[in-house]
Amino acid sequence: MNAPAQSRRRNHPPRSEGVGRWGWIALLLIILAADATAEEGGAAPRRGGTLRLVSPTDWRSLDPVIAFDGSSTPLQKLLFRGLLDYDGGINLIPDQASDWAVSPDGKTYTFHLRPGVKFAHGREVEAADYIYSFERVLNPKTASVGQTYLMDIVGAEEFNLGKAPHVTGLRAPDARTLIIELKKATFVFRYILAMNFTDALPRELVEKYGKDFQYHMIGSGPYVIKEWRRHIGYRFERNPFYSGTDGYVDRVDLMIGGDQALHAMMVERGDLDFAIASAADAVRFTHDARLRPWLLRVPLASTDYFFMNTEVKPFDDVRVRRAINHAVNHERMLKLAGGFGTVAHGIVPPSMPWTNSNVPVYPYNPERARELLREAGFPNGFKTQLSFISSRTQDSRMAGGIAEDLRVVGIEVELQPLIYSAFEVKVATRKSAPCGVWGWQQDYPDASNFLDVLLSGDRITDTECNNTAFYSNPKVNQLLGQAGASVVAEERLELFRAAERQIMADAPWVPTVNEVVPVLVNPRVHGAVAHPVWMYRYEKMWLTP
Amino acid sequence: MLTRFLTRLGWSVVTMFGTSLLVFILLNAVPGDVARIVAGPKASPAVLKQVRARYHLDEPWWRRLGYYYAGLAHGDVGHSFVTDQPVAQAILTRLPTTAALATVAVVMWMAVAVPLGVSTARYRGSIFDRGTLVVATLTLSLPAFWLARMLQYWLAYKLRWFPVAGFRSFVDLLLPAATLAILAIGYYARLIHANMVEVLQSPYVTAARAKGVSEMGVLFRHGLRNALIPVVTILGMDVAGLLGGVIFTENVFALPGIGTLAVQSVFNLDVPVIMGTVLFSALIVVGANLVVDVLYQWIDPRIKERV
Repeated sequence: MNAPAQSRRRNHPPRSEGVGRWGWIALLLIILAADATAEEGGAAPRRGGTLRLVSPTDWRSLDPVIAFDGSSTPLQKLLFRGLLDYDGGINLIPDQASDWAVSPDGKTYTFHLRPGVKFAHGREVEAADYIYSFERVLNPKTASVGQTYLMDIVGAEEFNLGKAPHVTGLRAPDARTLIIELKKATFVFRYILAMNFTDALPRELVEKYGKDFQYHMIGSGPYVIKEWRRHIGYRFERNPFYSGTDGYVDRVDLMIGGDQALHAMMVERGDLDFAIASAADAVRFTHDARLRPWLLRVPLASTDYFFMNTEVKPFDDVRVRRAINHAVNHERMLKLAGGFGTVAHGIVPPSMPWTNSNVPVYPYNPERARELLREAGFPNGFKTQLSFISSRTQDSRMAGGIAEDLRVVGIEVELQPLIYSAFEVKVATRKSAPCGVWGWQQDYPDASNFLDVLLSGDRITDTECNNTAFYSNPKVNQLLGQAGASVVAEERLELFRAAERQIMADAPWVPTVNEVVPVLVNPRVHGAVAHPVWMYRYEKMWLTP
Repeated sequence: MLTRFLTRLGWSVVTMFGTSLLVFILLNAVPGDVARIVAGPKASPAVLKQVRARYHLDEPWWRRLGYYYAGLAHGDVGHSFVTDQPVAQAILTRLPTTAALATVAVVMWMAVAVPLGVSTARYRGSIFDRGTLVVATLTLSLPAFWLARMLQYWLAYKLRWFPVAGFRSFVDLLLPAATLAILAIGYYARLIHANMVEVLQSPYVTAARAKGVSEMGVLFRHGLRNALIPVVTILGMDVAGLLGGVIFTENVFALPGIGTLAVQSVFNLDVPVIMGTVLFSALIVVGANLVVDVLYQWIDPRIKERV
């Protein structure tokens, strides 16, 4: 957000007489200096006030072992903190650790905890709290999504399967030292340690409340939940023991309910401070000179895509897949997404941030598409079925747009709208869905989170498979395997770039759009900036009175 | 009287059982994996297996139905798959909002519909009567979600006469209740009008007039009291049916009632909550039927005599 008009207000010195030309110049310099100082001072975060947020629906829980979605993360950051965090970009910084080190073989992580870091009930955070929190994620009783990410820790699997009472790879030689040993060197483990489910929790309270801990959540973040009325709203207030410098507002009120049209009205009326906008409202705000500054564009590290099942005819033919890449009008896809975002030219989103030159591109060219189809033996096109999630407006629009584009080159598409849970089952099951529209948002800022998770042939399973194109190229699998084993950042980048180039040449996807989320922000809110991993951070926002 | 009541009660239980069975079977026929919704899109196969085991999703539907009825027999309506909140608690915390909204709406529409119905019957055929008929027909054909959004946009957002959304005080209910009331006023005004016209032509009204009873006395003591008897029946059913209307209204105005709970549970395929809200609605309908039955006999003793 820009600095507020009020904070730029100058304190002009009184006008004096007979100062002369140099006197005026000197005075001007003083005024400019004073102005600059005033701006800096005005931009400094101010404490106090209530930040008013909204969400159309409630979350299952904000408990770090349960909540795992983009929208709840900024709220979890109000309550919980962990060992590592990101700066304003994607660089990892110690959060509640004072320092950290990775052994030369990449298998041992050592953290020293910052002294004086306390939970909201006043007890100091200790290394044992992290061990307990990690084991809670790995405990099958919690059925935490996070367990997959911690399986590289020595003894994690045995603990998960009930064969060991504790995870042997987690050690606390003293209250402030935590040692994590991995089975193999895994570069991305450092990013995993910045994910919410590795945040510290106080064992005594989790055990005291059991399943009801979600209603009594205490962490070491800047706020605590004072009130949570399911599906109605939340009230967050300061953690009196928080030692960090952020957490500027005194209180955060979050309303649950309503749709985006209502939220836009409420922001405009001043009833809310921050709300995600529908494409229609975002366009309205863009075209209104008064409201334009209220619109914050948050690039999402995500890629929306049209996948083709490479195990199903005729998508097993690379010429068909390339033809479809030429047939889809990317610019139109962007318009269908409401115009917010950028045309996707690769698998990994640029906002990760990520660049990769020499990636094969497929310009919109229906004639070339027909030619490729003829070469593949489909001069009259073919019929196929396109699955998509019916409740996702953007996916519905894209599915319709792609169907129209493909019809131009002779491919008849039967649209198959499915509810979310049915879609997931269908597209993740081998030889079930010929093609479909979907998207992926990053878990951590590493290309492996897209290339390896979504397109590695080594990860193909008969059901519950993330590689919905069921794409496998031994060369790509090898590159991804090498990148996964490497702990040298630059080497990994080059391997991932090579893999992405090969994948795009094989064309199992038509990447369509890298989304930008339009957010409406009341001008009284400052510090609302887009974050490449967390989208935005409420605890770093402050208010003008 | 008691036998009749008990018979009705018995049929009510059968109705509730039939409803729950039908909804459970239909929900199980919906394609999809509830575990995916509970665990999230990035859950591993191992986690999905754990979730399925926890909620008995890996067992046949008839066995799950058995668990459900066993729970019901112990007064346990189940826990939400999504929030893990007890379903009874989820419904009960939202009931006051929905009940308040429905009450204010009914008071509003009856407060307008009764005088409108009586006066149009009194001045039957006048421009006022015809104008009311046109407006009544118009309001009857308005979709609830559209009317709610229009009232919200114009009266709350543009003119700022009302709060836009949420439920903090009684004032927040006025606009949503007005939405429901506008949709019903026309129908009730015409219903009361028709009954009044019939009643006013009855011999006992002629007799009352002949005895010199004032016109107000004829209209309200003799006319309206009798004209309201069939209205009570329909009102009882409509109050139960209001649950359908509040789904749209509550969602547009972000009111934390049973309507929003129902919508959210459907989107999440949260089977226990869907079952809970459907059973609760069925209970309201069945209960309203019973109450209307009793009220009807109280208002019109001739019915009791016939029974």
